[in-house]
Amino acid sequence: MSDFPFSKKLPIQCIISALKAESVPLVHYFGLERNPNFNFPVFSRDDLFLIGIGVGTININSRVQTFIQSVKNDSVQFINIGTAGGKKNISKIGNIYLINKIIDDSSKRVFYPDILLTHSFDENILTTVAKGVKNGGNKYDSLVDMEASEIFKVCSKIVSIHNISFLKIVSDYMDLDQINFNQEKISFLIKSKLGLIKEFLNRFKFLKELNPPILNIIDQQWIQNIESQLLLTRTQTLNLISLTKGYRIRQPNVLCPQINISKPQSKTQRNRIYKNICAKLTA
Amino acid sequence: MQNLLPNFSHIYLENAAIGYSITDLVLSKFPKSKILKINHYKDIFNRTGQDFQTQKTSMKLILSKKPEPFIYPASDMIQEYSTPNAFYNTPLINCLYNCDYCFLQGMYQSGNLVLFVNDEDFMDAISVKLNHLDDPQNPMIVSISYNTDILAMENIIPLSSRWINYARNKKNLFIEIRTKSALFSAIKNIEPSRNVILSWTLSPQPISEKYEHCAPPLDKRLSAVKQAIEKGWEVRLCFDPVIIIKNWYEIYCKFFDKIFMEIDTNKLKDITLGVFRMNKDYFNRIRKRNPKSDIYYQKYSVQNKTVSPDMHMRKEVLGSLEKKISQFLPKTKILKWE
Repeated sequence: MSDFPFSKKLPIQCIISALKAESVPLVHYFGLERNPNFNFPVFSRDDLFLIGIGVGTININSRVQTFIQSVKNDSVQFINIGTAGGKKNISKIGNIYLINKIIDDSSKRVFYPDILLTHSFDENILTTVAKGVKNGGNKYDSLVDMEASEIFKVCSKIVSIHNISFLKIVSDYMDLDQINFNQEKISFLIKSKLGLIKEFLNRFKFLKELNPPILNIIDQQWIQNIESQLLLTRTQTLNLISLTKGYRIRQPNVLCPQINISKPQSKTQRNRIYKNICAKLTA
Repeated sequence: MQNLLPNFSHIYLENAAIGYSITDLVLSKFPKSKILKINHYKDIFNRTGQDFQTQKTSMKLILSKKPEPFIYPASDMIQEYSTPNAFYNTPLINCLYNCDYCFLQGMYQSGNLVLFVNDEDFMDAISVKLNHLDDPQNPMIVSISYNTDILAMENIIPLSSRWINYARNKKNLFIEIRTKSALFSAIKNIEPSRNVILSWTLSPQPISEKYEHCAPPLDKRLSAVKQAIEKGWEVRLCFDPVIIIKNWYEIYCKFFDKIFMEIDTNKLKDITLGVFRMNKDYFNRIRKRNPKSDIYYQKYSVQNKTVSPDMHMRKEVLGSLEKKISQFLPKTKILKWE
């Protein structure tokens, strides 16, 4: 999913939230700090990040792309956490739902997040609309938000779809004009589910553990050392990575061959040394 | 793993698949599954950004109604492709097992299973084709378990039984059910049919343990083979793919000694023999996904868009193993892919 030949960095999780009232309880609970490298709200601590995207779809692509280029890490899990409008017959105000189907109301495109892990939530369908629904939402048989379909579209170009999840807490029955609704209420709804959210995030990490990289950090350094000493071509480097993967799979507990090399005097000499290394890896 | 949802925790139900008896049967077998309605199976199965191997850890089931075509000419990867009457079909896509060497992981983006509920349309297509064969003097052969293992699913969806009953009275038709399953018990009460070939893929236990994830061990498969032969079924053994590992000759010779000591070769229809091979595009697609199997980090040659060990190695392996097998049954019963 990325241009990186291999990722040197550990997996990270990135919460995406729309409203400040949704972000603040998460920031406080997880002890996140404002990251000054971004000109939009990004908070982080260790392997957990939070991006504020504002309401609607307009900022999602630029902010997620800016974030991903900055962290230079292709091993990311995205989790959209926020509030959504609900329907009385399929949801309850204050309940949190894991979304298994997202309908883009404008394009009618449908997106299906992979649900692979056990979880403690009810599941629900979500429709992403362009404008807030205040008339009771009779035309929707689902929860309603204003960001999820765009988040799925953007993030699925960066990571595999099993690394994207959507948690929505129902804040209203799409009757915002009829109830006294404010930021504090939204924060309260999020706060009430922080324990469950934390449990989900921990569980979600498991998917990354399922598929660890073949090459460990030492292998990667070994390759980089050879690449820089020999000034390998791109093709040679990719082939070396492939051969090293085969070596690692066949010999999971043996270090890569010890090789003392100095900068070669010519391409011919470089190629000869490179060939010898390849032979050792496939012996 | 307890963190993962069980297979078929979610069933994606295509609107067009509603009302079919297979649909009703599957839904009744999985009353706790979350049912999600979809417009078309490709909305799920062909999504971009899927990870085949991760999805295999918690496979979902997609129920769909397949449009035409219902049969395809046999691949040149199989031993019988030289006859124009060889075909395959896809009543089910993908497999409960997850063999390292399987082409499905390169053919499909998704690790989920698609069950086409309109199996009668598949059968009708065969009936029509039977009357318009390119070579009507010879029988039509249809592999119905080519992109899957339908016998492995028999306790869930009795596709094998339905197909056996369909083929039973058809003149000039053979269907092949290829499997690694030990689930012969699921069809043991069905009267054997001469129109049906039950084909078991068998591998030496060290190969099976290392490369055939989730498939039953050799002894269980062998037990199923013996039961099928005893009941009077036409049985084919597939030593295919032969995986060339260290000491391959000794490992395979010991394996053949065991197999043919336990099985009456006179009662075998035939055997197939072939080394690992795969369409180049599938192979490259798998390689890009960082597979954890050493199969994908070995030297191969590419000929006619097929990745396989080089010609010299192929000839050595197939020649020596054919010689070994011919100690037990005539060469005319050995179908090789070279």
